[in-house]
Amino acid sequence: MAKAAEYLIGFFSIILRIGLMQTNLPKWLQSRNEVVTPLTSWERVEEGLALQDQHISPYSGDLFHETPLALRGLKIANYCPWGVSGFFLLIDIITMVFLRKVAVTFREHLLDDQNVNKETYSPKAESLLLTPKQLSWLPSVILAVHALNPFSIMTTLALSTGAITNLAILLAFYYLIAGNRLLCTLFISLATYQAFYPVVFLVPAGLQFYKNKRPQSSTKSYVSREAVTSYFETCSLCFVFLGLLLGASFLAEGSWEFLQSTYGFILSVPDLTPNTGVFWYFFTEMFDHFRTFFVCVFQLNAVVYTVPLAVKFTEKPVFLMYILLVLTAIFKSYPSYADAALYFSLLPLWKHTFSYLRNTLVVAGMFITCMVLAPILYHLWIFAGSANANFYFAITLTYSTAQIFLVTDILFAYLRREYDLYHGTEHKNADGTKAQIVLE
Amino acid sequence: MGLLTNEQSRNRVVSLLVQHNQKLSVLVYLAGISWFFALAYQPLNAATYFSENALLPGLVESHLPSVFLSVLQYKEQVEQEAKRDPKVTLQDWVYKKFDSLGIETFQQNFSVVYPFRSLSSKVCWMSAPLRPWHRIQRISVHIAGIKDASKPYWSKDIIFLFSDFDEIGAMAWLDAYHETASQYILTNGLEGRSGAIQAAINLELPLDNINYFNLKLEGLNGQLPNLDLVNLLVRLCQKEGARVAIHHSFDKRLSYGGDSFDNYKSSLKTMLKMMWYQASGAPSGNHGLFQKFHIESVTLQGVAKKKGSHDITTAARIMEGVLRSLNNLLERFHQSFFFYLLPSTNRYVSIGMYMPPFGLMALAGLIKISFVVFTLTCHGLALWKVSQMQTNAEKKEDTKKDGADESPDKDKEKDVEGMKYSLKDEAKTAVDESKDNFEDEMKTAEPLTNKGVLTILPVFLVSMLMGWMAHQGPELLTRIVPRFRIQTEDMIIYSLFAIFTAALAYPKLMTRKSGSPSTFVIDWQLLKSIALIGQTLALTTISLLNISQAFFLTAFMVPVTTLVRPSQQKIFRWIQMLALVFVSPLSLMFLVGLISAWPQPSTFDLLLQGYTNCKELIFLGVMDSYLFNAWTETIITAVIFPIWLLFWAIPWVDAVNSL
Repeated sequence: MAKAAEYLIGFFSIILRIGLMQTNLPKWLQSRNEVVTPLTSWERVEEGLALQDQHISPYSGDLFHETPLALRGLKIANYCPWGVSGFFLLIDIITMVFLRKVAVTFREHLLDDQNVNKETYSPKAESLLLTPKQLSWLPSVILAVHALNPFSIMTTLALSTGAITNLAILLAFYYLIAGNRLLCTLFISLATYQAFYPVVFLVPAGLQFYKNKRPQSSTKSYVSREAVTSYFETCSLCFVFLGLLLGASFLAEGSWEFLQSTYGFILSVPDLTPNTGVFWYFFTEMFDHFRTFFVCVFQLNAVVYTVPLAVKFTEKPVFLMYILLVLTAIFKSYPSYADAALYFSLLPLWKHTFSYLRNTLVVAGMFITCMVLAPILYHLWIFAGSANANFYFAITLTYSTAQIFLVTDILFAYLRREYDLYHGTEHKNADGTKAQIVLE
Repeated sequence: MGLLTNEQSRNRVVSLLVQHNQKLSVLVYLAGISWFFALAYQPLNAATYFSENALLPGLVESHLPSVFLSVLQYKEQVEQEAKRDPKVTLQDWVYKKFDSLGIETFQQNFSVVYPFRSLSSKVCWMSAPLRPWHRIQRISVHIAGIKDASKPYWSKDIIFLFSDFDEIGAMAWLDAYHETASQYILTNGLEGRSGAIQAAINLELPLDNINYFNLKLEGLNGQLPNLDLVNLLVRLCQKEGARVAIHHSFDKRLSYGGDSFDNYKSSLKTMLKMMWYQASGAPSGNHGLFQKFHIESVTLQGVAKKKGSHDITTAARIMEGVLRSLNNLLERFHQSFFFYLLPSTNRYVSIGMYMPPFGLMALAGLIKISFVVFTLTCHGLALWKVSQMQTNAEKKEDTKKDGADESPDKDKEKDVEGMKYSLKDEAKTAVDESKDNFEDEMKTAEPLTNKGVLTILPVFLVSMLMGWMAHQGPELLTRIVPRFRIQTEDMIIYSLFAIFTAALAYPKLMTRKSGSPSTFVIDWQLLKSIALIGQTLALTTISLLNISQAFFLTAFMVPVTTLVRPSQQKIFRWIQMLALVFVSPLSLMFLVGLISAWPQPSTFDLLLQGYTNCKELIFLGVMDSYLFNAWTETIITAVIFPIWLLFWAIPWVDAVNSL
């Protein structure tokens, strides 16, 4: 039953995307700067391919920002059935396959985790315990959310190469849960090679693989010698892969020129085309004198939350990785809807904590409002000339705020459920009245 | 963040909203609408001023000769020409005249392919003669004369455009100038071209003397020209001693002082007139299409009177002033305001002033959502409630089966998460109790067959489909029209009527399908909250594009849609349905037709004329959306209509069985 539903949803999602590809929506989306960024625009890939055909280095100009291996890999897109759209549809199908796999593995992971810790839970928290029956629909739910996720639909239709990075991150996420260190580090390094920010996923990966290796009964700390060795192994594996990828790029390209156009472009943020992020408006206003300092601050902001979160969620690396995924999607230098696509598709993994969410209405309202208003305010600013940059900036700021509300809400819900697991669902004061739990 | 993490302060806000939502939403709506109308009151709006100093309107010193002898000859010349050789069109004459003055002159032809095949099966060429707007020509010729007099201060090109067929002609030229291809207006390219156009003044001048000048500002889709340009025209008219009006309504003389009631009445009238034109989304003059291309434009209309005090000289001087001011402009118009309403020629209401009252009006709906949602679930959208309750039910079963072997006494473990939690007394309010009671009721009211997203999904899909049909219907239907031999105009309105009637019947039709004996049972609270969110979002979005349209839609729709709910009493049900029909898009259109037909000698005449106007209005709306890419038709059919349909289902809901 559940299996049939999964296939049905997958089929529906493909039909929906093919149907939408026939309209003039893709063409419009390809020009939307909320959907494609200079890093992920297919137009620029075509430019790069054309330059390469002419034996001109695509990195000699400042238009092309894909990595050299991606450039060579994306050549095959033109030979796919239905051309480039077919290629991105294929990417989407593979994404769906792995989303399903993630859901299945995650389901077992949740139940295993629960069985291990069951003894420590409060007996009054029985109603919170998950059952296999409850979770049996998880793959279908994930697939359904992905099928209707407007962000992922837009990413596929707009031919954003962010979909490929997303796939690499998803694979890393999958192998993290599945406990395959080699493949997980490989995909983290691939994603890092493509987009740089996924490098932070090394932290949850290091924690998870140490946790897996450690015998269940022992209560060794995460700062022991053994732990550090394990972290080191994970990191070095990843860096070896990354080194290989960069080396291969050097061999293919014949120079290190590409580093400036890819990672240099990501880190120093020279392109201030409006997007959904927090960088562009701030740096258009910035005096050049302070620019370097604030670029450093903003880039640090994108990754700095890894440290406190890693301390807090040492025992929950999977959740840590998810939160980091959302945070980098908010604070990276060129974010787009493609980044939101992945974490929205994975959101139902935490379905068991949703009853603790408190701002669903506000956050949902903010997201919908942003999606509707962003193109309209852009039109008023650029085409009609009646509004100005502040209008569009206001909406991108709202979008970032909505994402931050979402991530804090998920964090809170997760912690709140954990608390209830250990303390029971009924909270009473000393005098027997109903108590309320407040986060301080 | 306090509101996000502290449940206590949150609950207080929520409970306030829940307890008083009915009163609050009525209050907020009334406050909003009265504040909006109060904006026309002089102390509440601001005096216009020049934001762009480069315009320097005061510095212009006229170089026009005081007497135009040559002007008067042109009219006679044209008439003579026409008598001598009827084949010579006005076009040719203008062409020759301009050419002889040494100005680069080009002619452009265009044709219109009508979107509706039945109007004309083939391309029809439009090369009919120009309308005899002699005055325009005279003024233009004279300004051309100034330029020729090689005054050193002209730094910009001036383009004189004589166009046929009102807006279509202007559109054809603009399309050709900017090389944007249109599907329906085909043009041949322009031979001459200049740079980016900064501003355009459209002149509509009569043959006789001018009594006063009338300004038309509203462009396509409710866009307005920069307020500086309007100010400039007003100032220059006043400088020439000419009276100037907005939509034929003059400023009240300030003899009573600015804040008198008479003054307020006249200001309100002017503001509403402007809003009326803006709300249509259609350009109020030939200038309207220029705004689509980022060109600030205004129509200056001279209103004739036999013994008008101003002759052609005044108009010419005003034009000279405008052109010379624009000549000084260094940048595009970017200062001053683009979003404003004018209660008089020298007062304005900016976006910062009108958005708060509008926001209040739209908020009335949102307050209601908070009620609907929060009574269903303390936190979050009602969507989750269903799954939550189902899982609860499942949990109960499961725990009965295998929930016995849990080790006790583990609940004392403190601060497992390293976070500091503290237990606090819950602030018990009456509302919390009622909320609890409500939830208990909900639990007893199982099974949940009439709850959840699935019950409203059909309603949702039908509304969307109806919206799509209303949007696409006219075009699809007119393809088969020739067989029926009905006029296209009638066809469009009949097809819309048909779709509307079908849409009215849809709750009735769905009733029979829903199994249980003739009841229409859906989760109406969820439906209403989704519809209210959709409505608020749509109205807010429209308010950014076209505040007047959004205002009128909000003023009519929000009170009805906010208060609508299923009722057990038939009379209330009928009243609600009538109210809903009254605010439906089609009846609003008819209302517009009636108002524009006012006054008529008898009620019957009024209704008839109203119907004719309404028909014409819809036809023009549809045509504009094809020819000029106007959005009004799309907004009404594809956005407002489906949202209205969602509300339409609510009074049909069987109140007894749904809760």
